[in-house]
Amino acid sequence: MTSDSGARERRPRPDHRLPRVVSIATRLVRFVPPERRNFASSLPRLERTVEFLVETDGPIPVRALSPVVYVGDVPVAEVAADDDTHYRFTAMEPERLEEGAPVTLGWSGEPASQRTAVGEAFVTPRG
Amino acid sequence: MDAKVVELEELDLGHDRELLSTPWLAGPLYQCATAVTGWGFVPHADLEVEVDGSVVAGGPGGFPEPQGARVELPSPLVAGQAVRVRQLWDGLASAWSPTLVVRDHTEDYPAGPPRPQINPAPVWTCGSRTGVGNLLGGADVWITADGAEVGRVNGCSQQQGVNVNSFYALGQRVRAHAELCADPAPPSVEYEVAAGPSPLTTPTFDPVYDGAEQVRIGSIANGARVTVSRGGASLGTYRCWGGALLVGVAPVSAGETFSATQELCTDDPGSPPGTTTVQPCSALPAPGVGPVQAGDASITVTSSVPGAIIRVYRNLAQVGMGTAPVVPLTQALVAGDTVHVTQSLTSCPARLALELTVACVDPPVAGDPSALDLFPVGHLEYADGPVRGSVYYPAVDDGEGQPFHERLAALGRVPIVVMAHGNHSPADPSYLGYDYFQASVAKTGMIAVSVDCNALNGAGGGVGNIEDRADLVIDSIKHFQALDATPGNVFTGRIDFDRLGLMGHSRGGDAVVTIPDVIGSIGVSIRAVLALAPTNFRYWYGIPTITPRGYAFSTILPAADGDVVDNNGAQFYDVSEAAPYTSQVYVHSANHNFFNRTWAFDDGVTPVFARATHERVLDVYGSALFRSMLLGDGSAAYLLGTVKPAGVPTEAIDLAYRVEHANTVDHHDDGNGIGVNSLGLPTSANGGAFADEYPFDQVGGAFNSSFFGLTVGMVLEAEEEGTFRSEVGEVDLSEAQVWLRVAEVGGASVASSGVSFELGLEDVHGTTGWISSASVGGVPRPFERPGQSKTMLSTLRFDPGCIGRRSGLDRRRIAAIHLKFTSERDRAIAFDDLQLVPA
Repeated sequence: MTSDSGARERRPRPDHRLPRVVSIATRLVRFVPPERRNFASSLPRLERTVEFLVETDGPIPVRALSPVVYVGDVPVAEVAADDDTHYRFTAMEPERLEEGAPVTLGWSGEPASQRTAVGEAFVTPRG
Repeated sequence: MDAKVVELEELDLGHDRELLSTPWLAGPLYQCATAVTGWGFVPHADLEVEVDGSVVAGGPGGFPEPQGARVELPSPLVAGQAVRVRQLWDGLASAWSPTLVVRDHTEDYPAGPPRPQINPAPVWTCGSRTGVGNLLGGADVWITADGAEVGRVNGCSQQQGVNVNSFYALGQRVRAHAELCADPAPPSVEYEVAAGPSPLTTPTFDPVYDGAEQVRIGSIANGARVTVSRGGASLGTYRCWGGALLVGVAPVSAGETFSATQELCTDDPGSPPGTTTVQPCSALPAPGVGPVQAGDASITVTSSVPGAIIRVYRNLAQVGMGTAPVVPLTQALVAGDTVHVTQSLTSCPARLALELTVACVDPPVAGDPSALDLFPVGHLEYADGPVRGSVYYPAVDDGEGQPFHERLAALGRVPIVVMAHGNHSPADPSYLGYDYFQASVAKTGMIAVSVDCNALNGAGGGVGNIEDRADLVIDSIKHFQALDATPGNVFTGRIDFDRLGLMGHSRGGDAVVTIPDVIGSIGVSIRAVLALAPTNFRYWYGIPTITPRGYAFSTILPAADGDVVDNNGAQFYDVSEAAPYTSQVYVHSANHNFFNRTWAFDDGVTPVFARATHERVLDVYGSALFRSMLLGDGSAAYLLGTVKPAGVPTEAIDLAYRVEHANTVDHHDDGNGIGVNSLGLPTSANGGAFADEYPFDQVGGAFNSSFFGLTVGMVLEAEEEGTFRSEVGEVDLSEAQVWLRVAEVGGASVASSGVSFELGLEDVHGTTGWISSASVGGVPRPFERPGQSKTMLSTLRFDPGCIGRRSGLDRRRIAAIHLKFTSERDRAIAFDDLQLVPA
């Protein structure tokens, strides 16, 4: 009897690819750290910071890591999803955002080489 | 373990014809036991059991395998009695075994005997015999079907076969029961009798050799009846609890044939016959043995022919003669000894020997911290608005909403472990994914809560999301504080919040590291935190990483994690403070998701272990952490590398650990340069060795991009024989070990060969003795991740006692520690945390 060489099963894998950025806008906002029930947040109260409004052409995958807007190498990491394609990223250290630095989207901790450029250089929004 | 098979002809072994190893008693022994079980005797030896100096029982032991020899006693044991055993064989009498003192079982099991386990499970229609495990030796065990007793053995072994009459009927509900000193154990898990496999598998035979007196038949269905024939003549029908059957026979000869069939119900077709032909004596292999390290006074046999006599030789002189699974030796072994182990049958002498070199450190494989099974497990869902989840707890019986185990409760409050899942699709009930671990924790006598954090799951993220999770977990802790304080529920007055453990997976791991820093004074004491494949959002965003301190910390890092690709838990380990210990479990071929039963996809960046193996890893190492810190038993040994757990691929696991009471020679974090160690004493590199300190981190200035921790360490490169020397003043290492975290430096790919070094101890007289890394387990090889292997350091323990007396080294006056590169050139080894640790 001949032997079957078999057919290797392909594993279903999570897809961690980020969607394409349709648009990105910035605005100045006030940031008040969320009120915790059991302790005080370590996030700073910011009278003025930069919020990035990112629209994508699809949902950002849900995983352990978080999507991050990088301005140069400065992460803008506090992110909230308004819906499947609209996200707000709030800078916790706005003073580190460098005028003219490239803006990219990536995952937390991801090296710069793997991030996606969104085609914009950072410009501090006018208040 | 370094072992090979050699021909006995090549050896000049010195036989000791007067040597007969001592058998041993399965312990502990408990009051009221009506029988004891002897092991390790030679087949057909007579056993004598002595109680308080008088031989009270004995007789032919038969074969030691598979269950030892059960010796009935003339009267039940009484606490305080001293019991021992010896064997008489071929005109020889062994020494008496070590004495076991009879204990009252309530000293070890104050809430009653452990619950019996039907093992193997399940039970099939027409099953005729059932195995029961997790028993106290000498207890009475019985089985019920639909509440009626169908089989019993009084004075049982720790694993006991019980014949069933009448045979099981489809749909019956079967449980095992046990009792010692009129103290009943909780009944076993209940199994419903199901139709057995059809057709039944053909029985298999282990190889049978000329002269054998036992034949092992495998692939047996649980409770099947096995008919065995020899040369076409029936030897009889044997009931079997399932798995394998070991049948005693008159000595066999090469070329003889055996066959076996099995059946469950008589009106169903039996299996096809399995057959074997007896092989000649010349085919008898060498036995297999477990790890052997300096100081061992016994050999653990891992594979041998049934009924074989095992002989052990140390440096060619016989030091043991007994049988599997453990052969006591007449002398303790010393590092570097050459040991030979043989097996022989009555008329078939050994031709081959297993030859091995005794390692300095090679921990035994023994036990399983997740196996402790004392109580049935109840479970509940809880919800108070957004505060929700599931809870498992020790109960009077298994099932939803069962009352709390009353007898345990009467002994006092019990510890609680709170678990938090990570970020995942909110459509999946992630909090249910650790039910197996919750049940495992609960059956040991703790409460295990899994918090539903789904409201925080989704595409959002950041440190704020981690704080949200920490906040919600604290809400659940407070919820249980309220339940504990409120009359009339399962948890009223039951929970000891002074013994709180936390386990978190992924972002949940980040959250449980955060909680001790923020929880404040709410009336809880966190004793242990387990971060499973955690994120570390603070690190990513340039905020100082939280230092795990004030509790035992452990992190499990899946090497093939395709989500938390940086294995950020290593950062927590690096900055953690040992209180009383801290540990890191780096698991090769493990992914991020398979620890949670509701996370379906395999995210692994390489092929990974099966989901069940992932669950075993969490179960075993998590149980070790929480048992050691919340129940106060010795399970920390599994996290501190002195014992390896059974049933886990430990060859694929690298452990790192530190303990509280250690004298650090160099942790390289003090910024004083490579020329001075953490004791403020000089170091030097010579003979072509090049050493420097580097951040072991994903930052500029790192030695290369393979380091994913959060510390500073040393990288040593050397020409052959190049040595790094670190002064320690003058220290006494006669009762201490040298611990050192070490790794082969990774790169874009994994080199074809590993690296090695020797650790040297130099005394005040200038004498230096050496221990090779190979003799303490070796430098672990990097896990091969596509594109980037990681330099993940693990701890090696060097016992100065392994340096032979002939070296002339004065271990009480050590002045310096050397690291001598013994690998080929152009390789690098990473070191950190050089410590002197009291033995």
